[in-house]
Amino acid sequence: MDASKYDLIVVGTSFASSFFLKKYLEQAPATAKVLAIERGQYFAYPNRLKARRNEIKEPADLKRHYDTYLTDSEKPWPFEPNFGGCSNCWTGCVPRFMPNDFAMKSKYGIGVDWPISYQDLEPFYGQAEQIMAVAGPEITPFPRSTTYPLPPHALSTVDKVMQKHYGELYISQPAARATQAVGQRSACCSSSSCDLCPVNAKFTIENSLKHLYEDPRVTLIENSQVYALRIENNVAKSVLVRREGRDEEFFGETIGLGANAIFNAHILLNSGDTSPFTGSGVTEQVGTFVSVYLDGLDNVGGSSLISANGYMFYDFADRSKYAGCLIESLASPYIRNEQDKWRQIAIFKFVFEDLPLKQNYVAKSKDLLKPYIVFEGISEYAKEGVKNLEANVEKYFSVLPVERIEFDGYNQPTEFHICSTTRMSNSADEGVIDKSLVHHQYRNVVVLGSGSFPTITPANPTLTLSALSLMAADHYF
Amino acid sequence: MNRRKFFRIAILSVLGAMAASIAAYYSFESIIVKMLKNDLAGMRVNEGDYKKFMEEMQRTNFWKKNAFDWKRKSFLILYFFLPKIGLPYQFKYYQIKGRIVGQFLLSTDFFLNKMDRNQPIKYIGLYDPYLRPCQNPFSNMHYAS
Repeated sequence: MDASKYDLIVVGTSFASSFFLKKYLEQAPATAKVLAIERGQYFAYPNRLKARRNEIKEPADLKRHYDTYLTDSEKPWPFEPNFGGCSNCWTGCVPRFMPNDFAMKSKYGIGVDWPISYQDLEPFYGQAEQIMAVAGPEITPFPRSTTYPLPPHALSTVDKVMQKHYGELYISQPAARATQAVGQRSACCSSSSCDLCPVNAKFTIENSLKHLYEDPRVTLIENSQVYALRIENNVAKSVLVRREGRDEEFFGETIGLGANAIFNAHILLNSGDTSPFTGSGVTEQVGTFVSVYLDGLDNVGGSSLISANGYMFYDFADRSKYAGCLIESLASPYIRNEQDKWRQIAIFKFVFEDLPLKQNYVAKSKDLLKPYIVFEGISEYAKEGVKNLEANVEKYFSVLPVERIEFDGYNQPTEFHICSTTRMSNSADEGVIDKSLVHHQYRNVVVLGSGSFPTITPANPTLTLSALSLMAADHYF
Repeated sequence: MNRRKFFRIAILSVLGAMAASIAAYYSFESIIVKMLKNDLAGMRVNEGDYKKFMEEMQRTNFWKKNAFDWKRKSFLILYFFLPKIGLPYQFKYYQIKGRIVGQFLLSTDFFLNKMDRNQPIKYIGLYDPYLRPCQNPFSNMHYAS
């Protein structure tokens, strides 16, 4: 083999690439050669903490998401373009999708069906939960063949009232925020600053999978942006990289694209991919907050930032008419500014699914390194979901002693979940990649991450995209 | 320019002029202290603790880090003085004010003492999970089930 040729090249070091790489290394021979290419740099957790405390400055050349793409839309698409990717800034919410999320067309006539079912992914969900040491409850609205590795987070007094009424539709949130010390992670102590956990309780690539990149079979290069693949006769021969201002080329047998839903699509577009689905339908969820002012009930005792998930609006008969949503119960230290009623308040976030729309897409720009993102807006389906919430929220919270309910009145600018630009499908006529995440046309390219979702759901995508990476590696190698 | 746009600009100009006049007499910091004193009236707060709190907020760049730019500051100053009768964005004012009052109380032992009004309130230090983790006073760490 050519000295500069690798058995596997993975692009990116976030969840999608790392879970794929983990599965690959478990069965790869000692002679295997892997190249991992990271566009940013390794900025160690202790230094991130110091920077947050203003003790040191962040490196001036630390990559920022807003420098990476072009758009005329006000909508931001944040992500972390450095080693470990979004694991450095995520909240650690890891609910599974619901079985019906994989069959939206057949069940509700909305969007398309996935080429895989919940049952196909179920074993890999269990494996991903083990790797992340997820804390979760015994009973969940989605079926599981495994138990969660760690005990669940504590419900608040408000959550307990809700759970008593709604049963398995209202549960302690499955979280990659440890409830007991595990590996290099401490137990979560509810500091409610999860984007950078002050006690290193949430799963990150750095605290749990960094060893993959120290494996003797793996070479990691940083500050290197893959911008295209060299394709010959529908086979990807190499990746083209801009590294500290210079262009380089690395040859590989198999390419695992794990940049993110924007950059995976951009790399493919730059490589000559002409599928009408590549880059099309960039989307994410829509979130809005509701404050419930309580009469005589203090909202205390919940653990972690988000103590519970509610599924009452998630999967229901009228999902054919309007978007479902997942409810998050916040346990952070907010107050009600009225004397003697300081904590007689509960804040809930409602996270709605949306649909990948053609008018929202990732395209090439004049700058080879920067995609251009067009975003015209969210779907009527999602808007109807929000309207339905306003019409029904009092009914759903009537089990609580409610004084009044206040809507925030606007949607959050982002949910930090970029999806659906390289969707999976049974054929090239319907999507970009097959049910094992292999590109329909370039059969040695595995396109990882949430770009693969044919439809998105109200649930957070990270666990599912990680499970998909495990499944993809399991099928491919 | 249509009639609606004209009135909108006129109202915004009047409000802007009012905010500017108020700002000439009162600093943002002094308004925040007044706000805290109003909302915590009757509670046993040591007068000097407001000053400590404001100094720490300033020193740690809290305002800047939490997107309190001149627009947000002017909004707070103006709404502090205006009568609260059906003003647009009134709930936003209460929301931001509540956040500041919360930040002050979280920097004291009030919530750690289970909101006991009879105890004097002692200032601990600016509430910051990166300086003092695990101090969410409403969590299961402080309210075991």
